[in-house]
Amino acid sequence: MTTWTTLLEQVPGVDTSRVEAWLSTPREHAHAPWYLQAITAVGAWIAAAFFMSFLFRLELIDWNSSASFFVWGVILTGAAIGVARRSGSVFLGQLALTASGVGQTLLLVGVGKVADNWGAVALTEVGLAAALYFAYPDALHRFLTCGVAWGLVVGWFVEQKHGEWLSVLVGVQAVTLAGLTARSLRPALLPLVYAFAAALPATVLVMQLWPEGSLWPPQAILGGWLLWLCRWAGAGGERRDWQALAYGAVVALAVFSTPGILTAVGLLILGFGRQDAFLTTLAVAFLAVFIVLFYYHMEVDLATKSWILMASGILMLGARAMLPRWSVS
Amino acid sequence: MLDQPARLSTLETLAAEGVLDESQAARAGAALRASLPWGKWADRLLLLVGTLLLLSGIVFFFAYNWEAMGRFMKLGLIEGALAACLFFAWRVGLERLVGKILVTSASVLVGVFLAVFGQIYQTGADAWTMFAAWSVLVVPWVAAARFPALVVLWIALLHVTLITYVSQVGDPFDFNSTCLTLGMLNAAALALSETVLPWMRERWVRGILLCAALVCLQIPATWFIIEPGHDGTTVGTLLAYLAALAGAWAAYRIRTPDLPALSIWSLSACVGLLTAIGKGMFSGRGDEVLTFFAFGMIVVGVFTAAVTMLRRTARLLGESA
Repeated sequence: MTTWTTLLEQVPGVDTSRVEAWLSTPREHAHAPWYLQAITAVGAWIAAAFFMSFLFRLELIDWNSSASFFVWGVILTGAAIGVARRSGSVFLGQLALTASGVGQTLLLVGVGKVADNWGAVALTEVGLAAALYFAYPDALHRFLTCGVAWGLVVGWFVEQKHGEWLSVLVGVQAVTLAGLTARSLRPALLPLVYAFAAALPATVLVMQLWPEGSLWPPQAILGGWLLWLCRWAGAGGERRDWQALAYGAVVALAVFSTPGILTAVGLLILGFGRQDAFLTTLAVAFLAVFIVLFYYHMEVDLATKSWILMASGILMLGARAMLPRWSVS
Repeated sequence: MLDQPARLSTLETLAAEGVLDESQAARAGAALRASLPWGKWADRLLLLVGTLLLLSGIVFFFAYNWEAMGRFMKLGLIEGALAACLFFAWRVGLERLVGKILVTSASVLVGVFLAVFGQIYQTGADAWTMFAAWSVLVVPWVAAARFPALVVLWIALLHVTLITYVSQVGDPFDFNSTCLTLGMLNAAALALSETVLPWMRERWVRGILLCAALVCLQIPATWFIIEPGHDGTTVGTLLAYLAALAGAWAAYRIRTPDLPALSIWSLSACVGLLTAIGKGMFSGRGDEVLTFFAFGMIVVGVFTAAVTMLRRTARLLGESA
């Protein structure tokens, strides 16, 4: 493990006494661990379902009137923003998250009723997510709204059978992730990184399960992203032979595997490089899914598949045996 | 403070608060990433994924049911692979990861051997007997390897054995006793790992066993709350679940506070408590419309209490909250 002393020695011009003073001051971290955030989200979703039922049963919302959806949607989302910005209480924070979930759902249903078009709903949520990212300064809310916006956009593309648009989406996600993580990441942008990191493999999964377009564009985009990640991972190091080995492995993966496996390996690198448990957990889960899909979808008989699986395993173990010893020690 | 390990998230907060400028933070971040043990990471990844693929290939190979291959050839191949795994595990040593993975592979091959044996000789025995024999035969290796992943695999095998037994034989198990047995099995494994098996004390093992124990005990307990007597549930079912919650609280809040374990505990406790409150509220004769609003507020309140408790524990442990 690299200590702060060792690390700061490599950066000229750093005021180490200032860093030490900052590190010595006890402070609340900007983000709670992801599992704690997940519990908050579960609570908010359950409560939102009951509040929504209450509004309908009280007949405050008329199913035939889109105006009532808009009015209640705006009131609840606005109230949620006001409460979230002013209150530091956990209870009010949880209530605001719930109100925002109900408000956004009502707004989207209202748009859907007026426009009768999935695209309009998806684009509204993208706009809402962008506006609320600044207006509602909460990490979990930012992650959830971005995630919902992504889900609606993917749903829209699938409904329209636009496989090539999904490829564009993969490109946007990979480039945004690279752009966000290339330099020092602002803590406020971490939820966006998490949302894109979760959305990228999910988009690729949709593409692999319902193939409406060719898979080579995402394969090429993700191969490029993976090459960039290898460079990113070793940018501060001096072992050029190690990087050459990594680039070779990426090219082989890009040629012989699927976009899903490339994505999962990319997230593994990102998770390990950022020492981030959420990204690593996400990567491991998706890697398992994509490996199973890769072999399941091979159009060969069971015997051939077994040979390919064994050969892949032996290839990986062989590659491991050839890893330079300096790199493992 | 400067002797502590550097973390990228802290580095980024230092940059955001102006303690480091952009270029200093970028340079330090790159140096920190490059100093990570990437070689060890690649080594582990290739070893684990390679082994999984190879074992899956072997399973598929024998599932194909080669007609051209004689029975002695089939069984001989598996036994040969099994013996090779054990020989190399002995050569490498069980204290190394490679040795542990070789023993795990041997344990999987025992199952392949039993399946192929049953396929060749058509013994007519129920499938549960194969899983039971597999579970028993690998016990010495599970004990010797001291490898958490193999223990978790073995516990999963015990689950499959019981579930296939219940579906093929049944007697004396019903839904309630099956859930209780599995819940207690997981709880006992967790208790053992926390007390006498220090090599099992890994966060992911704790998470899996705690989740499995609470889910297995919570399902019948929830049925009991909603409809007492459903599928053989009794007050004992509810008490078993409450005892598991109390034990987990004592272990992960009082004895050795652990935030991820407490989060699992909180989620389970919130669901249990809300089921009981919801049952009381929605089966009463109150104003149904207002009940929805009141229950929504109670949900927010219960989860707020859980999150507040978790944040306090996080502060106690010095973890980010």
